[in-house]
Amino acid sequence: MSPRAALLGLLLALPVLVVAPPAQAQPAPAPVMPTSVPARVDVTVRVIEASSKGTRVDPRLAAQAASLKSTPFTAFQLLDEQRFKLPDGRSAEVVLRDGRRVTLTLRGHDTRAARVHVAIHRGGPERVETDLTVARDRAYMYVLRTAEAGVSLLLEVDVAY
Amino acid sequence: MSEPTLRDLLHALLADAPSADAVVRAREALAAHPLGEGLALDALFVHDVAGDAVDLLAVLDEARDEGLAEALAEAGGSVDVADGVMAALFGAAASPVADAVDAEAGRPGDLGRAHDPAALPVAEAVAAEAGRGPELAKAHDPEALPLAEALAAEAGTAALVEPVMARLGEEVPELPEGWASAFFDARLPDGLRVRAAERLATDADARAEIAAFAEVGRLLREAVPAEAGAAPAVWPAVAAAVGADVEPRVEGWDEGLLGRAVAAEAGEAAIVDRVMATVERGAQAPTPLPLPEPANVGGWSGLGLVLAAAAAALLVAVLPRVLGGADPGDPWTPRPLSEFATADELTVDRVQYGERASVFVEVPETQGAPVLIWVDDGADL
Repeated sequence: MSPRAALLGLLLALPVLVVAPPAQAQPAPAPVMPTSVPARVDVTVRVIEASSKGTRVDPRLAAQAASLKSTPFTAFQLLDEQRFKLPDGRSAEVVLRDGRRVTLTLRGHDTRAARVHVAIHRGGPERVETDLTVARDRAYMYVLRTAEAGVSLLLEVDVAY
Repeated sequence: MSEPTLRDLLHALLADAPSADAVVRAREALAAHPLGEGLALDALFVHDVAGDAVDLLAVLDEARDEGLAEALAEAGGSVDVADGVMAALFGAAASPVADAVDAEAGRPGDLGRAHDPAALPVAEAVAAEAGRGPELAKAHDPEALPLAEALAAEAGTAALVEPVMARLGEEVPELPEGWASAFFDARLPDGLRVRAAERLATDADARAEIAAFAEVGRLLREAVPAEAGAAPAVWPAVAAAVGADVEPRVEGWDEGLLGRAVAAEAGEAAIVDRVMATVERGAQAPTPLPLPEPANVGGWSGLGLVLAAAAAALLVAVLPRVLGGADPGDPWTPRPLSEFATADELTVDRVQYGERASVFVEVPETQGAPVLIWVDDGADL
């Protein structure tokens, strides 16, 4: 390339260099948010016996072992796991070993979070009810008292879609 | 004049300054009387003449009571007990009992006149004594004067409260406005109640007011049930709504009693709904809404049974392929656990529970630890 051609090329590239911002000043890419949601939500309910006696953790609970050990309990046994695909407004029910029932209703969901209603009862009017809004693909946990000292039932509710 | 008896002689010794002769005569009489046997007569009537005489008179009375009157009469003549008593009380110079009675009540002839109803009615006699003849006569006419005024006319108005309370060092407040109503409802304090009673004894208007209250109450008790009709039992419906035991827990308890009482006063009304609108269980809202029917439970209807059979057939047909490889869309395919929500990712919008339950939310401080919702539903597990 002759010096003349090189100068011409530099002149043509100059506006580009001036207009283009430096690479480090570019904004971070926006987080990718789902623009649509499925009609149904995967709701997984795990019933776990938690005890302060012993340290055994059911191997099936390895994925959440670290989180479980942050609770006041030391031993964990998976008793039941049920999965439901729920559209808005539908309910599912899990019967615990002591006869209590957990009725879970998906109130609604959007791109960010789901609204979940949970009623713990024995079929009568006496019940404990919670309404929660939980972020998409997140789980949360109930600790239910039992008649046995030092033993509780953990009710893990996993909402994914 | 007959010979004085031993009693007479002893009475004579009760005088302020009995004579020596009287002492000698009494000693002589005693010596001749069975009472004197064994007595040191010379020692009698020396230091305490009257005292010795009183003692001997007492012994004479006691001897008579023990059946010795006859023996005494044989020895000493008649015994006048009343005179002895009077003498003992008032001295030898006092009049006998009969004289004293006569002096107080007049002679029998006068008493006979007083006891003659035609001559002098008792009430009039009392009224004459009290100086309230006309009032008393009026009081005996029931149509002319109520009983309380008659009593007041008879006895006068006795304002007892203030003197009594003054002696106790306490001041009795005045009757407040509306005291008659409070008195009728038994809501006046003790001190005011007594004062109100005094007031009623003299205040005809107040008595009329009390009577009006009683009449109104009677009319209400008669009229309201006639208007109200049957009374519903409230408790069973309320108990069912709040989940309480409907069966009575106390033997003999009538669960319909409250309902009938309310209806008797207020008539038949839809009370349960209003009661339940007011009742709050624990800190939360009342009657829970019915839960939706879970999708994963329930029986089979006729059509549902047919569809289930078709689905079972389809499942048998495709089962080998399903088992041959995991289908990501299959709900039974294990899926990884979602992360536990942090405090920013979980909002507790509402909690409702009964009075026997408790719920609290524990937000972890460490990253990755789950939010825990502690539930004690109070059930007898």
